[in-house]
Amino acid sequence: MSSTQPPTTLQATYFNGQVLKGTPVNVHCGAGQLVFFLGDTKHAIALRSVKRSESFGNAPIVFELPDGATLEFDRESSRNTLKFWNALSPSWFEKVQYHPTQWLLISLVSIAFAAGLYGQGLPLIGKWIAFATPQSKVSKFMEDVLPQLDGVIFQPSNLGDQAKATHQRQLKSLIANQAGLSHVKLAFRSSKIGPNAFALPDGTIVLTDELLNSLPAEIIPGVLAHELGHVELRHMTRRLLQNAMVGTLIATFSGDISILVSTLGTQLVAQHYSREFEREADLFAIELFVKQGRDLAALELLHEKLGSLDQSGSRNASYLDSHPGADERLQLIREKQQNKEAR
Amino acid sequence: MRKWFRGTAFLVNNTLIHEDRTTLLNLSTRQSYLDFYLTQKSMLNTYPPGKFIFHGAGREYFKIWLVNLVLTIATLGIYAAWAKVRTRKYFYQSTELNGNRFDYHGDPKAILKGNLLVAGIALTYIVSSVYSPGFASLLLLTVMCLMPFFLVMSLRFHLANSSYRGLRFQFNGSTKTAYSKLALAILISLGCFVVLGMVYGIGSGFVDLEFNTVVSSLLVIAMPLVLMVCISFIFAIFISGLRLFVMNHSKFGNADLKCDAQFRNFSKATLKSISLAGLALFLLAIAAFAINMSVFTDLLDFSLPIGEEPSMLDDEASQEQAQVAMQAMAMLSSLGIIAILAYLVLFAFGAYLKTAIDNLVWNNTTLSNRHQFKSTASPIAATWIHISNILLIVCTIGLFLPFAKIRSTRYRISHMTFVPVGSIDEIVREEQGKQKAFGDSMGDALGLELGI
Repeated sequence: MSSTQPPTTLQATYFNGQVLKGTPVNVHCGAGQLVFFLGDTKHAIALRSVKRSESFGNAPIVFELPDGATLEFDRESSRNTLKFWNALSPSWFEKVQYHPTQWLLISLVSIAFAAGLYGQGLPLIGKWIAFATPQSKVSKFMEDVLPQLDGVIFQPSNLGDQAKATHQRQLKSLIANQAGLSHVKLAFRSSKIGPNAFALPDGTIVLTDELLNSLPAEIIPGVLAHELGHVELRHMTRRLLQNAMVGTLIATFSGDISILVSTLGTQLVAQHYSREFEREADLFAIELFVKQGRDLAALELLHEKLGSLDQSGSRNASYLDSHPGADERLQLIREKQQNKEAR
Repeated sequence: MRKWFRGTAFLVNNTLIHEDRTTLLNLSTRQSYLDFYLTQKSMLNTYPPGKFIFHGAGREYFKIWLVNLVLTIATLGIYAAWAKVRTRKYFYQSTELNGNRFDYHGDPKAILKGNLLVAGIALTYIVSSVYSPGFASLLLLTVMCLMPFFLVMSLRFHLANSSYRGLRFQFNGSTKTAYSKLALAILISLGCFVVLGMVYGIGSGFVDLEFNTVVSSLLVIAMPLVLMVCISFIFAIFISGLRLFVMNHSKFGNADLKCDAQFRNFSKATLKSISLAGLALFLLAIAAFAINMSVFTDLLDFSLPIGEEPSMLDDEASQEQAQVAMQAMAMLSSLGIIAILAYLVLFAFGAYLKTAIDNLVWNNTTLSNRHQFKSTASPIAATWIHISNILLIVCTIGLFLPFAKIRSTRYRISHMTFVPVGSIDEIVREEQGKQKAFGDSMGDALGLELGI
C-alpha cells in the first residue's frame, strides 16, 4: 500500500535467559532467518524455530528463541516491519481483538450457541440419562432420600388412619392399568414447609398434612395425578441430573467468570427447567383424567383452590412457587374439556 | 545524616560504606534506601528506583474478557483454561518495571487438567450429596484438608510460569512446611476461642447474677471489644502465616524474596481494619434501631383512633390499614438498605485490610537481601475504588467487571516502587538442578487455581 520500503533492520533487546541484563541488538531478516550480532558472534535463527507468544495492548512483541533466549521488539515501531518479514502471524484470538466486526460476530455466535446448549442440550442429555437408567436402579440409588429429609423438614404425620386409607385407595385407582407406575407409594408427613406435595426419584409421593387439611379430600386425586406425572416423566431425577451438570460446569469455569454471573445463571436455568416440568405434569394429569373418564372439574377446582391458597400469602408453599399460574392451568384444562366434548 | 557526599560508596554486608570508611546507611536496620537515594543520588553510581507502571486499559480488557466469557460458556468450560492464561498474560504484559514488561507462560493444557480435577470433585460432591450427605461432607473435609497441598501446587505452577526480562520466578516452599504452619495457626486460633469462651462465660455469669451493676455494664461494653481483639489476633495469625510463607519461599531467578514484617504489625493492621468495620456496623445497627422505633411509634399513632371509634366506616378503616401497611413497607425497605450497607461495610473491610497488609508485606520485603520495595497505596482510596467498583458492577449487571479489575489493579501497581541497592545484574537464572525439586512435575502437570 505504502510506497516507502520498510527498514531492513529493527532494534530489539536480547535477553539470554541466563542473566537479567538485556543487550540491544540490530536484527535483520533474510532467507527465512533472523540475523543479529552479539559482540562479534553472528546469530542466525530460522523463523520456523522461533516461537512468538501472544501479546495484547501495547506490550512488546516477544520472540522465544530455541535456546531459551528472547528477543523483544517495541510493538508500535516494529509491527509493520515484522509483518513485512512474515515473522508475525497473529493467533485467531489476537486477530479478533483488533477487528471489531469479527469480535462482535464471535461473541454473538457464542452467545447464541450457549443459549441453545444450556436451554435445550443439557435438558435433553438429562432426559436421555434418566430414561436410559432402569427405574429399579434409580429407586435403589435414591432410597435414602426420604429418611434424610425426615430429620430436616419432616415430622411424622398426624393424619388419621381412615384418611390415609382413603388417599391410598385414590392412588390405587389412579395407577390401575398404568404399567410404569406400579412402584409408586404414598408417604404422609407433617412438614415445616407448609402445604406441599412432591414426587421423589424412587417413586414415593410425599403429601403433607398441611396440604391435605387445606384441600377437600375429593380433589386430592388431582394432586396425585399431577405428582404421578412427575414420577412417570422422571422429573426429579432429571432435575438432579441437570443441577449436577450445571454445577459441574461452573466448577470447570472457576476463575475468569465471577461467582455473581455463574450463580445467577444457574438459578435462572433451574427456574426455567422446573416451570417446564410443571407444565408437563399438568398435561399428564389431564390426560390421565381423560383416559380414566374422570371429571375434569375436579382438576379445575383444585387449581382454583391452589390459586386462592397462593393469594392468601402462604409463601412457604414451594409447591406453588415455581408453578405456572393457576389461570394458565385452568385455561389448559378448559381447552382439553372442550376438545373432549367436541369429540 | 550529612546532606552531601563526594566520592565512592561500597556495599559491604548490607551496609553502605563511603570510601573514607564512614557508614552511610545500615540496610539491615530498615532505613529507607529510597529516602537516602533521593537526597544523595548525585553521588550514587547505581540503578535508579523504578516505579511499577500499569498499562492495562479497560476497553482493551473488556474485549478480551467478553470473548473469554462467552467461549467459556459455549465450550462447557473447556476454554476456561485458555481464558485464564490469556487474562494473566494481559495483566502481566501490561505491568512495566524499568522499561520492561512482565510475562506469563502457563500452559493452558495443564490448567485444563486442574480445572477438570476441580470439576470432578464438584460432580462427585453434588451427586453424593443427594443420596449420601455423609460421604459428601467427608469429601468436603478431605478437600479442605488438602488445601495447603493445592496452595503449594498452584504457587509452584504460577510462579514458575511468570517471568521478567527472560528470567523466571519460582516457588520452593514445601507442602510439609505449609501443613505445619497451618496446623500451628489452627491450634493457636482454637486456643483463642477457648479463652474467649471462658471470658464470655464468666462475663455472662456476672450479668445474670446482677452481681454488681457497674461491673456487669462494663462487661457488656467490654465483651464486643474483647471479641474484636480476639478476631483481629486470629486474622493476623492466618494472614501473616500465609503471606510470609508465600513471600519467603518465592524467588526471582536465583535471588530470594524475603519478608521480615513483624507479627505485631500484622495484628495492628487487622485490629485497625476490624475496629473501623466494627464501628461502621455499630452505627448501622443504631440507625436500624432508630428506624424500627420511629415506625413502631407511627404504628401506635395509627392504631389508636381505630380502637376508640369502633363506628368508623369500613373504607376509612381499610385506608388506615393501608397506611399502616405502607409504613411497614417503608420500614422494611429502609432496613433492606441498611442490610445492603452492612454488606458493603464487609467488602470495604476486606479491601482496606488487603491494602494495609500489602503495604506492610512489600515495605518489609527485600530481594537478594538488599533491594527494597515500596508500596504506598492508601487503604482508604483502595476501599473507595473497591466499593464504587461493586456498585458499578451491580448497576451494569456485570459489564463493568473488566473495567473494575483494571481500575483496582492500576491503583495497586502504580503505587509500587522497586528500590535497587547497588547493582541488580548479579541476579541470574537458577541452576537447573536446584530448579527441579521433587514434586515439581505434579505442579507442572496441574495448573491449579486458588483465589488468594
